Amino acid sequence: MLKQKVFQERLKAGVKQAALLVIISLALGISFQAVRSDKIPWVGSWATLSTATLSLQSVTDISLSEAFALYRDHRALFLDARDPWSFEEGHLAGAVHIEPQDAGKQTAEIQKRAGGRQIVAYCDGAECHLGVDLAKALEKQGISSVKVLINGWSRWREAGYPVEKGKP
Amino acid sequence: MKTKIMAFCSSPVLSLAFRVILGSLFLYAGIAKIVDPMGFALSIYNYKLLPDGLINVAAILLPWLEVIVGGSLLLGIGTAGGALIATALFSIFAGALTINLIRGLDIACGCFSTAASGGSISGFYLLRDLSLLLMSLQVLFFDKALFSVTRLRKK
Repeated sequence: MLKQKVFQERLKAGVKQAALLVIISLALGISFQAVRSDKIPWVGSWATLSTATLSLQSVTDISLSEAFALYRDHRALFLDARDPWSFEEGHLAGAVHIEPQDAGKQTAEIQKRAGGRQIVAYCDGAECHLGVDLAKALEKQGISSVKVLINGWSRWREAGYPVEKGKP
Repeated sequence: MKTKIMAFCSSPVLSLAFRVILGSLFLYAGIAKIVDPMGFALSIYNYKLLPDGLINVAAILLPWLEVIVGGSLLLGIGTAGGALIATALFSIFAGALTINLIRGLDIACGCFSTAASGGSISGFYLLRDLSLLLMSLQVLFFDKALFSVTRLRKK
């Protein structure tokens, strides 16, 4: 009986302390979120991302606006991972065509072309994983920090950003 | 024999040991997730339990709760509160793991690291979680604040 009372007291104290700890955590979390530079938004665009793409994690995606900012400042090399026919019909202006299976053979050339710029891989469709595959293939070859613009072609075109036609 | 087992289970030294284990784990897990919020958000997303709008909120705030709980348990400040939150968290994690083990989803645990290579969830992860849950309950009810800041201040 006595023991039960002791337990109840502990639980009571625990609830009060827990509430305080939660408040402290919230305050810290919100404050840190306000000052950190590499933060993620409070609400992510998860609905536009597909399971197929995300199941192949370990690569980072890049937002459309961020990708366009890099493009505008000539600070990125875009790699089109789709088939050559789609590329010919239209691609991001200045993008280089390379399919995931060819990544190994062209590593040196890509590195030369990138010249220290950010490499961004893309394909088309929320379910398309070629961009992610390409990024992973390049990472295997030692080119790290390749970012993926998910559903890149459609989103880029719909945003009205520069595109061009032509053979690879 | 029975009383001996009871005495061992409710021993304050055992509570101290559990506090150190749980506290260190929470600190480690929390910091790893604070460093990589996107990776942790992906882990949460893959569990397919939270609505899209809450995934990032959880990924941003939950790690701080883990760090604070870790600190509370290690230092012995508000230990009952820390242990209570730990119990709640391990119960939630157990639920999330169980649901996805039943669903048969092949996803990374996202427990102590945010890496996708961290290994797929399995019964082992659930067992580990339940062991930690038991430790939290022990601390919640039997901790006598050995080596705690609270006790040092009273001296």
